[in-house]
Amino acid sequence: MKKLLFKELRLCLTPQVITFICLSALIAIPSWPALTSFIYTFMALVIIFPVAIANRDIEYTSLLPIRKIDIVKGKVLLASFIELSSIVVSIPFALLKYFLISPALGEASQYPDLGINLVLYGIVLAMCGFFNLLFIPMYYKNPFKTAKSQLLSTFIILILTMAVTAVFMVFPSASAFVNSFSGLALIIQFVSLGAGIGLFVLFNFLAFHFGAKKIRSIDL
Amino acid sequence: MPQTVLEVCNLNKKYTNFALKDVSFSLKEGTIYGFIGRNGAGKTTTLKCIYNLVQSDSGEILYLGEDFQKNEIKAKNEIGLLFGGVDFYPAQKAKTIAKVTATFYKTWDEELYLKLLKFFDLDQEKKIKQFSNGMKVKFGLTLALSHGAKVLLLDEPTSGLDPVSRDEVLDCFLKIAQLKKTTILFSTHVISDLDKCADEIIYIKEGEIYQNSSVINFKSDYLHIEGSAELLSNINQNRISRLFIHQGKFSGLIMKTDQSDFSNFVLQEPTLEELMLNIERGNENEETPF
Repeated sequence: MKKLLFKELRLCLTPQVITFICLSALIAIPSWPALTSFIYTFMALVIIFPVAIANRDIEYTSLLPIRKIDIVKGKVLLASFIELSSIVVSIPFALLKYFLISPALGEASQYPDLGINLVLYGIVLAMCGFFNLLFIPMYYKNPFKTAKSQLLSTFIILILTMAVTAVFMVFPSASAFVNSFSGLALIIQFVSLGAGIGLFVLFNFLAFHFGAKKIRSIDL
Repeated sequence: MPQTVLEVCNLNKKYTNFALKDVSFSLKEGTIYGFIGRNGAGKTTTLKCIYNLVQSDSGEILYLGEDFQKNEIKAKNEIGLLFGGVDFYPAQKAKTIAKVTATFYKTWDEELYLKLLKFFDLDQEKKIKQFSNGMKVKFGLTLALSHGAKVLLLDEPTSGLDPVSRDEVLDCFLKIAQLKKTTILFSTHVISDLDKCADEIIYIKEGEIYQNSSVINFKSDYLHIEGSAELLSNINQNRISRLFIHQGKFSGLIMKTDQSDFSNFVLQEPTLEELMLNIERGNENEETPF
């Protein structure tokens, strides 16, 4: 697994992808729905696959002493790495917004939003895993073309992001509740984060499982 | 008796317009095999089936007597596969690709890798896109040889190489087959390469193994004949296949059994290319569009 990740990072991680990872710092922008700053993470994910096709990545990887299904494993690991890196990059900026920017701006920045909390990160993790589950098996149906899988997965994840953001805008009380420090709210925050981590792992496992099933049946 | 390292047993793969039909052959330790046939005869598909890149419909691949699929990682660690040259990640330095490749092989020999770079006159600081086609082939061979593969499956490794580089590569094949007992199966359209170094020929035609024999046996039925075109009228031309007349001279192939009837002409061992053309085209004179 370490070798596969090393190969992916060394050969497939482009500067554009690193830029997109860093864009999760946009979470610090006041009055901006926090969830939307992770849209760039999904953009990074859809970039790496066509770049890999152009670099004949699959042809190279298939010559290495690995199983055919490990080609999928490598890409699931890379996608997860990019997603987790985005989250890690966002954390200091989220804290900056939470402790400095928002208090400094006061009421002006208090748009009803999901806000900066553990529920946000739970949802982001679940959405990242869900994106991989949507995109990776669809992509490995024909790993030499990406348009359909890219468009469909991005569209679904955009709709999902808008829907989650809208729920908290339509129901400001929900936003106020998850951002409070009451006992129940804190429990919900930790449960959400735990569920997010669990779903992230589960969805990635399923993304690998279904992607591996697809690649077994195709000729490289 | 050399040990059998790789066995291909009754391999079948059906596509819409093409099928591999019961392809079977075995490769012995330290032997160089030429894998020949026309474009689209099934050479690349067979190599991909062996390496499990293409899912065969039926058949079995045995590496050192064990099922390849069940021991895929171990087998792939000991088999080097190369399709043409290294044409991956054009913006990456050769050094980076070698570094990544090395992590996957337990038997990677860095010293040998550096020696091969020197032997092939390659600069690993260069990016792949800065390599010529020949350099890409040489770099691919360097990677394949540096992990001490026991079997090398090479799809047209000498295409794109100039005659000097081709000779270097063929010398390299002969040395590793002799000194390291490496088995080499390589497909090529430069049939003269096989005259220089192949021990055995595996001939594939329309998805089926047409002939599988030593180079000596492959050539044993025919002789190359040549002489003055004026003398052609005195002999039965129907007994000469691949008859070619140019600048007052003729050349062609005769059956060895007819040798005594042509004793006045120059008779030589045929080249593999002549024999291949004889198999594929015989005496046919296809109508040309011009």
